[in-house]
Amino acid sequence: MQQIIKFFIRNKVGILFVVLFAISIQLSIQSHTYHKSKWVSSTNTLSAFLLNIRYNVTKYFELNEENKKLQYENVYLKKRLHNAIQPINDSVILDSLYTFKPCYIISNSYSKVDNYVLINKGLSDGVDVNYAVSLPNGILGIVEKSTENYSRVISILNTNLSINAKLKASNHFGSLQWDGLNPNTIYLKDLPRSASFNIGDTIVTGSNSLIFPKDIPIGLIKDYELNENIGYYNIEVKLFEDMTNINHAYVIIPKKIKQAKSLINTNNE
Amino acid sequence: MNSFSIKYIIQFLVLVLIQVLVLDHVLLLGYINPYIYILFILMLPFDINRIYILFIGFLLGISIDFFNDTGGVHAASTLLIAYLRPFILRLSFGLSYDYKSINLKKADFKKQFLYVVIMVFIHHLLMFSLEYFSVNYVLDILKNTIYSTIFSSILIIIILRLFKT
Repeated sequence: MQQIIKFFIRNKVGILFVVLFAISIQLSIQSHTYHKSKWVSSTNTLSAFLLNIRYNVTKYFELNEENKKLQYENVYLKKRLHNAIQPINDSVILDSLYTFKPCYIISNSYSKVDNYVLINKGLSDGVDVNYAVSLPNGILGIVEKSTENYSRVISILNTNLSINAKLKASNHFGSLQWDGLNPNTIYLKDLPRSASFNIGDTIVTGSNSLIFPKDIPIGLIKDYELNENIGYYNIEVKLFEDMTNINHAYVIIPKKIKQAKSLINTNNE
Repeated sequence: MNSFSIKYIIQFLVLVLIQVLVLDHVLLLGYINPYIYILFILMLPFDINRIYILFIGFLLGISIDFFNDTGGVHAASTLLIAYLRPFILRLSFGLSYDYKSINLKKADFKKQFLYVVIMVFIHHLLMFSLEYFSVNYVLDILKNTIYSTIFSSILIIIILRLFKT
């Protein structure tokens, strides 16, 4: 017994190093897996508070550009509204499946392989885990952790996330994944061989997911290759949105998700 | 609490805040991010208790992780250089380290440079390896390590030279 205690005392520096190192490695591995409760997160009160102060200071520098972006978005929506074949009245909007909650991005990241984004809306605003977040010209990701006033979004620029997406022209779908390298390109994988498309076609969110509403534009086909062995296309998609310069986003709150989910469950039984 | 420890607490807070509020949002040439917060580990007194420096290293790294959503990536790399510091000091400063008489800020430029670059390189190499966490990215890990090491080292040496007093 005394020998053991002596051993510990003699090697205390080495042992402490190994213990702390093991803890950090464990935390790192956890941060690379999706759907694991993460203790180290920027949603904690102090980090979110400081990042929010930083955002409040720097937002004024980008106000001009931000206004322009919002105006473009308005023009696009007005075009759709006034050129719609069937007039859109308020009852349609009230009856819709989703509501949108505007939010600001207080910390963005795009240079790592597993990127997360911090937004300034949380549980008290009705934002919860597994809600989708969209951008003026695309999609941002899925809410992964929510505290009272802040939420952490797992970005589409994260190698752990894959999102159902399809061609705009047809209903062929595949899964959207990032390779961890260029923040402007993402890959649409497992698109069946029977699909026909051209370079420059639009990719939109698919209808096989309860998280994202369908037909949100994501990007353009830039290049593609056919994997002869398995017969699936691998498509390089250029994102509409510049992910390195985003300021505001919309959390998509599903209103009838419970009904839809219960329907799926009864079908499976 | 004496003025000595207050000085180090302020230094710790200032470096963490500069890192997470300013430098983490400045990407040079699009993707190179300088990390200067490890300057705190570099500047700690050379005769500090090795147990203390391990705890300080871990605490410093995990504070950065809390802002960057990186799990324990910074904690692990800062801990490693905190552990290896005595060996690297001996390697770069030679015999004088054993006499506890060296002064980092007034040291010979060559020795200071060697010490900073080795520490920064080890820190960055482990940090990027854990961040990418896959052998598929070996080239990206090396590229990022080398570029970031250059920028971080230059910044750290400039800071050391500017605040010589």
